[in-house]
Parts: sequence; C-alpha cells; structure tokens
Amino acid sequence: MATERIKRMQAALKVDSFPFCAEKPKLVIESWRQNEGLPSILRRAKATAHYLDNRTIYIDDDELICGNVASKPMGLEASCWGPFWDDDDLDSILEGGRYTITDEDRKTLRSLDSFWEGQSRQMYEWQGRFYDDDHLWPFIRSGILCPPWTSKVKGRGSGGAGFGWGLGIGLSFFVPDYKKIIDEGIKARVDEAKEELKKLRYVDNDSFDKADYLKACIIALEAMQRMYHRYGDACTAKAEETADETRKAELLRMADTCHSLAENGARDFRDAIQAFWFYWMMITHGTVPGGRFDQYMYPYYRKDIDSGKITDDEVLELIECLRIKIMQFNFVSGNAKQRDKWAGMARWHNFLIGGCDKDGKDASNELSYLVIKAAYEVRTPQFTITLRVTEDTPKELMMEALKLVKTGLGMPAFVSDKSYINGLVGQGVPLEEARDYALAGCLDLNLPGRSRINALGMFIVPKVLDIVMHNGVMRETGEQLGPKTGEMKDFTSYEDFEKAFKEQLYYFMGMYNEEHNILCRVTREINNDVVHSAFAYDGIKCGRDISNRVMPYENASLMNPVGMISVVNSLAAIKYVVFEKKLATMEEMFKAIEADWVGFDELHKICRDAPKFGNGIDLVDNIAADMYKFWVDSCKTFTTIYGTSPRPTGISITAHAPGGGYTCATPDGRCCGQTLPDGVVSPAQGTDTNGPTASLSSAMKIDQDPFNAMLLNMKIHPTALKTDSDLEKLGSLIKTYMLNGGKHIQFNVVDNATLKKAQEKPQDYRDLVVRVAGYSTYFTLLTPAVQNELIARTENRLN
Amino acid sequence: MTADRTVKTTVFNIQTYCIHDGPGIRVTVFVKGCPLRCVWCANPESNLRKPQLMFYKDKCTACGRCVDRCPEKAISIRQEKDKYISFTDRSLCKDCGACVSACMQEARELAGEEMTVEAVINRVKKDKLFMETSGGGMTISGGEVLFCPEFTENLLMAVHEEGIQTAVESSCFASREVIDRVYRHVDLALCDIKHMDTNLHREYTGVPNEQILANIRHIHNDLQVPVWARIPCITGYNSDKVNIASTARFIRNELGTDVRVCLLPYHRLGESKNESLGKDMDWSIEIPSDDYMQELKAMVEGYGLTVQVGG
Repeated sequence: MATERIKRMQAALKVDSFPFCAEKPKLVIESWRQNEGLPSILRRAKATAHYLDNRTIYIDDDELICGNVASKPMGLEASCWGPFWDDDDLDSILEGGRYTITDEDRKTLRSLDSFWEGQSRQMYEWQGRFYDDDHLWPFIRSGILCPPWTSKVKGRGSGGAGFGWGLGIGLSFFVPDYKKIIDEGIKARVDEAKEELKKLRYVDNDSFDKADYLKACIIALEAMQRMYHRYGDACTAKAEETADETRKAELLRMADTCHSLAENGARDFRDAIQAFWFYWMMITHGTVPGGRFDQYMYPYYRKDIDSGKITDDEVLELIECLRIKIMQFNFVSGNAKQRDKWAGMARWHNFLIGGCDKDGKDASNELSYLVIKAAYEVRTPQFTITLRVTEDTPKELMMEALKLVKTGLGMPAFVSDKSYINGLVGQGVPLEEARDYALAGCLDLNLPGRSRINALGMFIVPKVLDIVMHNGVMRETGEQLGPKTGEMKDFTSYEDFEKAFKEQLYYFMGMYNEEHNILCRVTREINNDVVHSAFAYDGIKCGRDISNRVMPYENASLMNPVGMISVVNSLAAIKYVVFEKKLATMEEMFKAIEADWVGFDELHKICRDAPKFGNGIDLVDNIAADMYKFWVDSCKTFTTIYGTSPRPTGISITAHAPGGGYTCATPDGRCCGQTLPDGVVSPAQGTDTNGPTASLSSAMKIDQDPFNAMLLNMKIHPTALKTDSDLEKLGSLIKTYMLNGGKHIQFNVVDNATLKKAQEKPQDYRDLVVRVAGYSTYFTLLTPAVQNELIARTENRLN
Repeated sequence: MTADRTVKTTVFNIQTYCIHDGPGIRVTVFVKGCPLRCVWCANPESNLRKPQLMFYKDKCTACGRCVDRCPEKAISIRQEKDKYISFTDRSLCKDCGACVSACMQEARELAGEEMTVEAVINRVKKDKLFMETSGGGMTISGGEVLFCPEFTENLLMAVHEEGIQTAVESSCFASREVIDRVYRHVDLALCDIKHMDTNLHREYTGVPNEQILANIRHIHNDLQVPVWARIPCITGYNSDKVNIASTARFIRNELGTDVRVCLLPYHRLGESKNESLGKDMDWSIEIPSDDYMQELKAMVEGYGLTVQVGG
C-alpha cells in the first residue's frame, strides 16, 4: 500500500492542465544576445549556465526528491529556438483548456519572436537549405517520410513546449552512463576538464576546438554545481519555515544531499536517486530513458540495506516519488501533424530491469521487484518499464511483471536479451559490452554513454508501393518521383512486380539516408551539448561534442520501415490473387486500387481474405522475412556522416495513423486513408485470426537480430489473464518468443467495451492507461484515429 | 504401427493458445459429430458430422447476392421486424457453401471442413515450440471424438510421432473397444460427468450414464490414464448440491483423489450459435454466480479432491 505521502502527491498531480511558461526562452535568449560571436559550443554553454543560475526553483510539499521541472507547477517551458506558435496556432492549442498561458507569458513570448527573425535556429531551416528542388525536395514533400513538409520555410512547424533544464541535442535517443554520473558526480568531470585544459598545447587544428569544448564543459558543469547548492539552500530555507519536526528533518537531509552532490559522487541510495533526477532533468526531453535502473542503483541499495540505513519500504517510497516526479514533466509538439504523430503527448522514459550481467548471468535483484511494485502502487503512465528477458529470468519476476501487465497499465514491455545481444555482437560489439545494452525511446538500442541516435525518420513503405503501381509517379501530384519500373498491367509475374518494388524502395531509401545525414549534420552544427558530451564514454579527454565524434557503438542514423506489414500483405495478395489463383488480373487490381475499391466489392473481399501476416501462413510470412532482410541488406550499402552504415530498426510510434491517413488504397484490402498496421511485426489490425501463437510464429520467421528494435503489440482481453495459471502460460508464451528470435512484445489489457465507453465519456475515464507503441499514456489524451485503431486491434480471447 | 495420416473427418475449428483446458499452452482440435444432444450444448455446430451453414443475421444487409448464387433456390429475402434479411430454407439447404463465398458481409459461414490427419498435424506442429516450453500439447475435443474413432486414434498416434503430448476431451460415451483403441495414445483424459442420475442423464443428453461411468473407471483404473473430471454446472439441470456431491463421491470412491475436478460454469456462447444455425431454442439458462461456484468448489474440496473453477 502506498504511503499517505504518496497518496497526497498523486492527488496533487494534475494531468489535465498544463501552463505554458516563458522563463526558459527568456533567459536563454537573454544570454544568447550577450554572447554573439562566440563559437556555438561556448555560446550554448553560457546560455545553459545563465538559465541554471537564474531559473525559479522551489521545493514542493511532501517531496523527497527535489528539482522542479518548470517555473510553474505542471508547467511546460516554451522552446527557446525560434518563434513560438503564432497566435492562431496557439489559440487552437489552448482550445479545450488542456493547456493554458498567462497574458504576461504570452507577451514575453511575442516579444522574443522578433529576435529570431532571419536567424532562427530551428533545425528545419537548416535542413531546408539542403532540400534541392530537383532532388530531395519532392521526396521530402511526398510524405514517404512522415509527416510531409509543405514549405521549406515552415518545415514541419515551429514551437513546442516542455523541455528539461539543458539545451539538449535535438530529438535524440541516448542512454547516459548513469553509473558514472551517480558514482563520480559532476565535479569529477569539472576537475578532469580543468586538468585537460592545463595540459593542452596549441599545436594542431583540433586543439583549438578542444579548448573551446573544455571551457564550455567547465562553464556548464560549474553552473550545475551552483544550482545543486541553490537547491540545498532552498531545502534549508523550507526546513526553517516548517514546524513539523519529521518534515524538517527530511528537508535538512535533502539539503545535505544537494550540497554534497554538487561536490561529490553519491554516498547512499538517497543521494543516488537525487543525483539521477538532477542529471535526468538536465538532459531530458520526450525520449530520455532511465537506463538499467536496477543495476546502477543496486550497490547503493545493498550497502544501505546491509547497514540498516534504509528499509525496503523507504526505497519503494523513493521510487514512487520518482514516478510522480517524472509525471510533472510533459511535452507537446508545436506542429499539429507532429502532435498527431505523437498522440497523447507521447513520452518515452524507459527504465530497464532484469536481463543478464556482464558474465551472462541473471542480473535481476531486489530492486527489479521494487520497481515493479512501485508501478503497481502508483499507476502513472511514466516512467515506463521494460523487462529484459533471458533464459534465466526468474519465474517469480515474470509473474510479478505479468501481474503488473494485468492491471492494464501496459507495462512492462518484454525484450529479448538474446536477440539484442546477438544483434550487437553481429555488429562487432564485444560481448561484455553488448550485455550492458539499454533502450532509449520505446525500444531503441544504445550502449550507456557509448552511442547516440540522432536520426530516426518514419518511412511510410506503403507510399512507395503506390508509386510502384503508378510506374514511379506520385499520383497525388503527377510527378515522376521514382524510376520508371513498368505499368501495373504489364507485369506478367509476381517476381517481376516484387523486383520493381525493391528497385523503387531502394531508390527512396537512398534519399532517406541523405535526409538522415542532413539531420545528423544539422544536429552537429546547432545542437551541440556539453551536458550530454562530458559524461559520455571518454567524454572529456576526447575533447569533442557527442555529435561531432564517432562513438564506440555508432548508430546515429536508424532506418525505420513503417507500415511494412501492409506492403507484405499487399504483395501476398498480388501473388495469391493474381498469379496463383488467377482470380483477377493486374489491370483489374490496378483499377480497384484507383477506385479505392468502389465498384470492386468482390475483388475487395477476395483481397481481404487473401493470406495475411500473423497467422503462421508461409506464403505471406516468407514475403515478410524477405522484405525485412532486403531492408537490412540495403541499409548496409549506405553510409552515414560518421562513416558507418545506418542501422535498421522497427518502431512506428504512432506514425501508422497519419501515414495511413494520406496513403491510398493498398492491395491487401486496406482502403484509402485507413490506418496502417502498427508496430513492425504486429499483424494488421484484426487480421490475426489464428491467435497469439500464430502471430508470434509469423514474427519469428523474420530475422529480427540485426534490427535496433522490432515492435510487436498484442492486446489481450482481461479474461485471458484471470488466474495465476493464465499468467504463467502467458509468461511461457513470452519466453518462447524471446528465446526463439523475437525481440519485443508488449500487451494492452483492456476490453473494447471499456475503450468505447471511454470514447463516449472521456471525463469518466481520465485515468485509463493504454499502451500505444512503446509508451503508455492516458487513453483520453489520444487522437480519435489512434483510439479507434486501438479498438480495432484484435482481442485475443480465452478459449 | 505408424499412424495412417490419410484418414479424414470433419473438423470445425483448430483453436490455438488454449490455456484453460489442460496443462500448458494447447492447440485444441474440434471434430464434428456427436451422439449426445445436451440441452445446454455450447457447440451446437458440432452436432452433425457434415459441414453446416451458419448465418449471422445482424451482419446481413439483404443485398441478395446469396439468393442468386444458391443452386437449391433455398434463399429468399424476407422482412424480419424492421429490417430485411436473407432467409435460408433449411429443408432445401444442402450446406454446399455457395452462399458463403457470395456474401460480402461475412454473414454466412460454413462450419466444418473435411481434413486429413496430415492436414491437422501440419497446423498443430506450428505451435510445437509453445507447447513444449509451457508443458502443453494437443487436445482433441468435439463434437465427440469417440464418434470418429479411426480419425482420433490415428491423429493421436501421429501427434505422438511428432513428440507432442495428447489430451482427449470426451463424454466417454462409446464401446469398450473404441475406448481401448483410443486411450492407449492419450496422456491426459478430460472426462465429462454430466449427471449421476441415469434417468436425468438420459433426459438432458439423450443417453444413459452407466456405460459412461464404467468407461471412466476403466480409463482411470485399468488403462491408468491420468483423468481430469469436467463437470459442466448448468443451473436447473445438474448444478444442485445433491448431484455435485454425488459426483464428488463417485470420483473419490471409484476413481481416486488424484483426479482433478474442473467445475465449468455454464456460459451463453451456445445460444447465439443456435440462432445462427436456424435452431429455435427459446430458453435461457441462468449463469451460476461466482459465489455459488466457490461454494461448490469448497464442497467438492471437502471430499479431498483438487478442484478448479473453469477449464
């Protein structure tokens, strides 16, 4: 049972009202103006320091971990880089009352707009410079990458609100080396930087950049130290005005922690969790993970428990405080399409538990269970939990995990150590390092401090299929977008059609890679960040920003096929209907697609009934295996700006909804505008009619190891999870998948009746948590399209 | 002796991820044809051995495609309440399925498909990994599996040849010879006990119970196959405490306390199926409450038996 403190804190957590705040952009721009002419890395470090030194700080009642997110409770600090939303945009966002802004803050933001005129640092403007009219621009506009751009000037839109304390490295996926940060502290890095600077001699070109970099590290990190002290002072001040002796003691202990963390590494579990929060807030945005929480925190837990300094209940309460704290951080995109893509203010704060240690042995411990228990007691959608499953994962841990799944909270997700580690070793990573992998975003593979992802676009594969069916022409605009691979009616064999598809796909993947290289390059130019870089592997000595160096494990660019399963089902339909059963000609198929099936009822039914992925049918599963292999092999032929190949991955976040929204009918029987299959090895919604084992069997036929992620969603009806024996069997299902090629699986445990009721009466279902795609969120915050898609996913019922 | 994989019967469903009828994750094969006619039957589409047409009137839009396609001229459009639907004259219908492929709305379905042992095995084998890791296997259910003994025997043998465990769910209404042929290939016998009073048994199911109870004794005591006794609890028919207690006594005294007892609360799935088969069954049985099921469980446990509610 959660403590009274936790209950009060949870009640205070308002999830339906978020004020936009102007403090961060105001302070950042103030500093930016004062430091014109400095190299970007120093200018950004100074802006970081100026914000940290002057930001509003306060200590909330009851809290045991301090560090307020924004200048106002539940606030979202507006973006610093470029004009905030224009008034029309802003008004439309404010509609409905979920977001608010004071007149004063609106005025402040408007006054900042003029500063950015002609010198915006929005990424899209830098990207737009490279989108040549005769080359990349038609591709960027086509929607093959979601969302499509409408204008080089406006890009994907502006603004956005809800950021951490640092300036960030753009939309990136990065797992910090929390162990080093917590164990060694901030000052260790400042000292190291000072030492390096002392030794530095200006004897080559790099030494100048290194000097700037080291100075920037010192500026920003010393400001962090000062802010930690400020929090210490705030705790002391609050203690002085507190009458309650117990609370006073808590506050004084917190003050001691803050002051100590400014100068040292963590001394105990309380220090460690506070150090985690401070650093997490320094780097956070929508996708910042928690790494292997039960591993780097364990030495502190063990020491404190053994010495009697802390109890399990106290540890549990601290983890629960962290769950609540993380819910005070929110994010909303400035662009309406982007908001669609990230339905429900998507955030991915993924905390890993379990898995193996560096020797390959089961690494789960008491903290793994406490992390699950905290989520069981405090059922907030964040932070999200992923259980690394190995052959040796204890049955008890699986059961506790499944009991949490049963609550319908949508967590934990389950990932396979075997597949992730195989994938890394296959890329040349030493086994011992591979075993310490962690996930950023929903599932994206990283090695703590040793890698970072800077580009992860949403490539809508069915758009390419439509272009193939039109001989390289994008039918919406009439442009010859791809190579001429033949008219639909002229294909005389399935193999020829598949070949044409692969040719087009490869052509557009080449552009995708270029677009990613632009993103990586722009990140390097404008989003350098010493707060990330200093704590990365060899971060001080290497003297370079994290986006300006080749990382030990290089995966800056990920290529991600969204809606591939719709293409697989479409290819299967063409193979089966046209060439095997000869129930229609290619020309009829083409006409039916052109007509969005109107007037082709019979062919529509035939195509809907054609074999679908997720039912263990070889005809279609083999196509899936081949297409994903083609994707992997193609990735290997491209080169990123870091000299390595982009890595294949498979997540759709929620891009399958908007991506499907502007994609015409497909031969699998899908209608124009219909949502694409979610995830990457999830069957198309409602087509996995042979039950969960069949859909997993299909997914196991794909070689998932080389993929950075491979998302599989399964919605399960609560009646299939009634007894412990049901949970045990689900556990065995998961383990079988994990040990036989599967990479990831997650469950939604809700019945459709509940979801429909929640659509009708959102006010009564505000706390209904669902799993969308790698993240859990409140159902009522989702867009209607995503809500409907959740309802449409097949329910796996009991038998 | 190896299995003859060419033997056929009519299969109406192969259900995967069955977690409620036996240990582990199972694949259950449902065969058609049953000599019993239990009034509460949950799978009425399994009664006859031949495939049967099922019609879901809620999905029908009365488009008339099936009317034109039916070779027996058995279908017409009729008004029912406030909407038009297609109506099948069951006395003319030969269950050929022509209307099923004509229907765009999935309102028509043919329950049952002739399958060989080989075809069934190929489907079952796909889940072998899941069955192995969970300690599961294949279950044959019905209909009545002993009503097509040749198929059942050969399927069980073939499943064993594939290294998969077997279970048979049956009413045990069959000759001793059939029992002996089938049960030597069975790893777990799921035996239904519907009523201890033979007269009531005959009234509710169409057959008496003496042979059934003798067969269960034989399976457990002579053939030494592990038995799970499955008792459907049907309000107003057999779920009264007198009958359940008498069933529990039979299990304890004549079989043994190693027999696991499954109390299966009545569910309503069969009712809509009856309607889709064009059967007029205007009665509704009350679903027993959770509390009542717990009472029964406690009572049966009082006989020293291991009891679960459901599967």
